[in-house]
Amino acid sequence: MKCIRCGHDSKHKERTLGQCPKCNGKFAFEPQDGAPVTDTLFSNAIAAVSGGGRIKWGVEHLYYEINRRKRRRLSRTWAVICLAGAAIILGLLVSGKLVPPLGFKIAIAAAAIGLAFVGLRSWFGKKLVALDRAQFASMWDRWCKVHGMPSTVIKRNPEVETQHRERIVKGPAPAVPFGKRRPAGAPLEADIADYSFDRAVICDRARTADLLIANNFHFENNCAILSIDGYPEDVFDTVKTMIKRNPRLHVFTLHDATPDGCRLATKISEAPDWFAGKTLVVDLGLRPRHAGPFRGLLQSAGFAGGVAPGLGIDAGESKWLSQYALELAAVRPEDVLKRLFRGIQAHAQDDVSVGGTSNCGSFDSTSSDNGDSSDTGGDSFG
Amino acid sequence: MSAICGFVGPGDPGVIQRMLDAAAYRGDNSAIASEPSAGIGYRFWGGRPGKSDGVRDDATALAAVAGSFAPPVASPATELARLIDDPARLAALDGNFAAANWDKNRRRLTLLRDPFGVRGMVYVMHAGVFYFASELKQLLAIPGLPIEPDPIAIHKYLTFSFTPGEDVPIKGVKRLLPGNIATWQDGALSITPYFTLREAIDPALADQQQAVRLVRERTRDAVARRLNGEAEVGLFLSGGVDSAGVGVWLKEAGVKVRAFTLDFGRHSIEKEQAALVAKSLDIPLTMVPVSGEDVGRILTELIWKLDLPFGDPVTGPLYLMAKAAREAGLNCVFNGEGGDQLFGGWTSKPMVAAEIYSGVVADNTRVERYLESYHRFYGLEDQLYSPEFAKLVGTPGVRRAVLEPYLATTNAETFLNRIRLTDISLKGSQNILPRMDRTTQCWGLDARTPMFDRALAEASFRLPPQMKLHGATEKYVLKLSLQNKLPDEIIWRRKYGMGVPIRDWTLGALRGSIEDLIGPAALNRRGYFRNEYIDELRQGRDLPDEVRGRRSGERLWTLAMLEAWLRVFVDGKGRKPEGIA
Repeated sequence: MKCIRCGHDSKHKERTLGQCPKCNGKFAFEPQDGAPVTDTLFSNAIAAVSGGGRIKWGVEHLYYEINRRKRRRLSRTWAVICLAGAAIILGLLVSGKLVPPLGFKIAIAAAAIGLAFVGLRSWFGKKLVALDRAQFASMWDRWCKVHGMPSTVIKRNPEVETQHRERIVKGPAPAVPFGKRRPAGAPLEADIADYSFDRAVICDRARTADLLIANNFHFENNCAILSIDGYPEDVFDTVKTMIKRNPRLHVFTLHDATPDGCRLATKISEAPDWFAGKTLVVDLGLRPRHAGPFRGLLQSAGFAGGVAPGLGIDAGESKWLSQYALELAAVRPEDVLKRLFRGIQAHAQDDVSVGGTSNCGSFDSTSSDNGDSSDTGGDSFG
Repeated sequence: MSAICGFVGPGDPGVIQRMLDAAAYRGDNSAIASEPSAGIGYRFWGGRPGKSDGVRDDATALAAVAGSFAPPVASPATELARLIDDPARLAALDGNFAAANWDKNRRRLTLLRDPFGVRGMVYVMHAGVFYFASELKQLLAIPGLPIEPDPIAIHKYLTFSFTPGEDVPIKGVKRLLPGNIATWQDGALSITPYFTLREAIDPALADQQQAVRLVRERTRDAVARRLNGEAEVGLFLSGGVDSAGVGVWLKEAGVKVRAFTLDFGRHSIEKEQAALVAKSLDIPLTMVPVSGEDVGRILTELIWKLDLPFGDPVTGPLYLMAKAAREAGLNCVFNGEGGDQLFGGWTSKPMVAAEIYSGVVADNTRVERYLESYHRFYGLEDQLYSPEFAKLVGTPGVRRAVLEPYLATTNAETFLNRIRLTDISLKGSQNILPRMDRTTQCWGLDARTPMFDRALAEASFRLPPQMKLHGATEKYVLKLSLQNKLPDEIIWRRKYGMGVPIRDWTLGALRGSIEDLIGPAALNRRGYFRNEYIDELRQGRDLPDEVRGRRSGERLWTLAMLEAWLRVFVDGKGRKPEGIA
């Protein structure tokens, strides 16, 4: 196993006291002793969610990244074994090198086909996440204890971090609204609330708002960012008032593929205390149709009574949402930020005064084209 | 379009001629006056109204003024001594000038720079002699002056895309800041401001009609103060509201106007708007085609004439547009620079957003957000700087120290106006105006920037800030003042910016120049930067932390301009590069 500090590859018997024999650096995980991951896998996952150390991210993103990597590693290794076995058996039968009696031949061929089927199933993986949240939480604690907290992880205040942690352990369903999260600081200056924004992104949960704010999305895009559950609490009402000062405000929603998330655009479009049908709301969040690339990263929804269609959810979606949920945290932060930006750019010329909602999400295309190759720079000359 | 220079101390008067020759393109005439231990030189174009036609040399003083006062006077150099000794007149001084006065009796040198910094002024102490000049290259002509790059000034350049404050990227050389008066007497330098912009909100101007009336009066006067009886003037028209407004005011002043705009072919964003403005004002418009190849051809010449490093890609196109204006026979061009700074342009809203969300998830300060707003290398130092260069840069905080006096100023009580004051002092005075001056001066053109008029600027700080940023509408009162004078499509459309297609250029037509200036071999030679990070930019890769592709082009250009500048001004000691007209 490789040491992430010095790169030295060591055997299990050399790693006495869980340390690298070359640099004496401690390992966080020892697979030989039952740990489900290696330090290298964990480190690579952190590099992936942080865009090589240039993007802020939340612990929830790492949870899904570890799941993504484990899913890929386990299922694909098993799939390759099954498919290779099936190919060898069928090859021997077809080439005539294996000539059993007819009855056995049929049975062996059937077994090989069955093996191939299992391989293909493994290749595409299971739908639901495999890694237990509590297990991940203890892995995270272990990592931070040995290697320290990564500098790019979003730093929330301790009270909020506890709530986030509870969610990581207990699951995605928001049980209670978030508490006051902004550290007590200087009050906003008197004239600030008199201005407005060019656009607003309304999220279904605070941690999505955090991701955008921590990565300066508000600053780069003259953008208000709010979570429907009242976050950030100490500026929520101010920002909500400010966004109403711009009659040409472009409004977007960003959310998980959950019933509440998928209804968010319709809800704020129609609600009298939000946009009261007067402003177009463009939904850029995750919906069931986006779930394809996220096999193995879905959550079980557990809506025993089903989800009723309507209020922004169609019949097909209601069926899917009764069984599954897909959190935005399953998408890498870099991808969330870029897709959101592109989605906003694509709607820059919309006439917002028509009201209603538009459902053409930023996750519909898997293209990696950044969409502004001929974008321009430099100042004006007045 | 002129330059001054001089010295005080046991210097050789012959050095003045060398300094004048170093900026020969700033005029077809030169004059020198000296006495033992002091001398002043002046390079100028003869026969231009409102300008001095030589160095004043009489019993009491030597004096020269590059540029002109506003309103113009017949001989600024003669007027200068009277101004200096009259605090009331000094405090009200306006115009585009850099001036020097040697008081023979008091043995005192006084240097003055205009309120907003259109004209440059740099100085250095060498071998017991105090030297000053309009341009850095003039100082570098001083025999024996050590020419060493200043890594801290370069560090600041890499954040701002220009060198802010008093720093110049040559050790020992300093810049006199705009609106300041410097005196050199008995071997000591003292610098004091004669002009400070302050917020003084007039509640009566919350009334829209009164605010519009004030802006209309002041803009009209600002243009009138900058007219010297020219038969025809040029106008750099971007298609935005600021330059279109200047066009309106020039037409109202009854001046014959010829407009110029840039044509980037398929990359052009605002040329249709510029054409619409020209049509609505009934003024002829020349589209100046500019390509990456065009900019590549003038790169070295541009660097030399800019004098200081400027990392904004608009300089090349401006230089070519000024050339077109000169070839059309004009002596002066008006422009709309300053509208964003005075009336709350595009930087306002991001800073408002930053202020709102400050402290929500990270402990970022207003200062840090402002530094990030320049979109260069702030926060990317670990990736960009080589360990050797990082050591030269020294302790952290030098860039925050540049900003803090502005952002924490008590000269404004409202958030928006504090940001405006910072923007005027930094971006306006130390970037926009100097680069406009230099790109036009080298063609013998006088740049006129009425938005940076003192009375207009003071009026803008009497306006309640909500008259500038009204909800999400930027430059609200300026737009109201131009209503019914320009098409609504020009006034009320969303801002797109006169963009230079720099990403396409740096990855296409300018790829060879980029490779030469900041390719692995060049980076290795200079030793300042890491190749790995710059290689990502050179390859045009999609950066994880950047949603806008254009930023990589801006960053490449900023680095390339720095290296080109180091080659001309450090390696080449500021001498005119070969092959330049």
